Amino acid sequence: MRCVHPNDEGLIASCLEADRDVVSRAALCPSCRDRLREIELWLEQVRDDLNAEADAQFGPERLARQHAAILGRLAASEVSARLLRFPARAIPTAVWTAGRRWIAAAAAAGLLIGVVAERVIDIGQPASRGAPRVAPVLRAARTAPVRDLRNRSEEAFLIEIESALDAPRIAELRAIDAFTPRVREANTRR
Amino acid sequence: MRQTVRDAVPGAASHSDEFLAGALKRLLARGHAAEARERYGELVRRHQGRASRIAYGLLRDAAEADEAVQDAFVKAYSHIATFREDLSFEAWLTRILVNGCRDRLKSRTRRQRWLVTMTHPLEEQSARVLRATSKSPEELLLQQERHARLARALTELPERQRTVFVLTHQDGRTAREVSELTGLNESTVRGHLFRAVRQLRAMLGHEAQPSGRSTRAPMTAARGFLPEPAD
Repeated sequence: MRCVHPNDEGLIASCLEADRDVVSRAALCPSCRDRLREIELWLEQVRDDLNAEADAQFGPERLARQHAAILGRLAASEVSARLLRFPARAIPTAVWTAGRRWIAAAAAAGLLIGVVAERVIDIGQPASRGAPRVAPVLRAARTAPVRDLRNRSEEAFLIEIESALDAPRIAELRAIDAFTPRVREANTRR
Repeated sequence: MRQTVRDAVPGAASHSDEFLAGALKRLLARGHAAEARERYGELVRRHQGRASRIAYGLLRDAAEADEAVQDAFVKAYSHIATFREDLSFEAWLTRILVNGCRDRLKSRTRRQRWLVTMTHPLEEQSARVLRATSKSPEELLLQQERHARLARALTELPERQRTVFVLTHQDGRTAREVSELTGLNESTVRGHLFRAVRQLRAMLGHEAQPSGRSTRAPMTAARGFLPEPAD
């Protein structure tokens, strides 16, 4: 059978999937077989180097410390589980759950009514009053209460930053949209 | 006299992982926590070396890898009640470990994006490897440089390629096993592995040839990375 002289990618695939015999080794010429062998030796060297490096980092002493640390953590978690907790005030679950549902529903309804009312009032206002109405919105955004970050972990804080950057800033976009001049309004003023 | 697993099964050290895990579940269910911990110590001893290799291969930081391995074993113990004895304990533990390492990598990426890091751990750890061996100074220097280049190359691989490469090549798992561990499709695993190897070879100075002989960067060959090819 004539050698197809596979490129390096074909030989890599052959090494990695030897069980599937992607490239039939018997069909390779001596030169290609040397290349295949070189790749195999390289992969073995990489594996040996990675294992040697890991084993140098994790010698018998470190593994023994790790073993002790693991069992120590397990023992500590069992001790903390045995601590008695103060009994919570007995509140009937059904009543408590029902009450919270009503409160949540009332809050959602109030919010919806407020948003609709604001929208209705905005539509009824003349255009010239658009700019002053923006200032309170922006001012409100700037003076929004800053959460206390001192008690947060660093990780949670970074996650919050990323969420804030990824989420659409609807409030700010509305404010910008409110004072963006419209062609219609510019024509009316002329 | 209270019968324990040790009494019932002398030589527990010779039993399979799944048998020990099953015994652990029963001990914990009966409230024999101290004995369960002792049995679990045997499982830890059997798997911590391999787990440390995998964690170090993924995280490239010994301290973080150590913590990841500890977290994985603690988590496995706390969830031992959910372990199915008809499945492989090793695969189950490895999955917990890999997921933990991936979470740590995400956290690290987040920190690197927003915070300034003061130290570069790679050089410090390479120096540790140098001191740990007993070869000649020249061999040590070559080995150190080779390890440093490999470490940098591995760190530059995308996370999934690195994970697949470490699990397949360093831990000796098949593509199917890696697929079960990572949740990736088997063909995706093969694709990641292929790209990882190709990229590592490129980064370590093995220029790909369309056909014919492959060439290595002369410096790489001179540093004893691989034997000289026959011309």
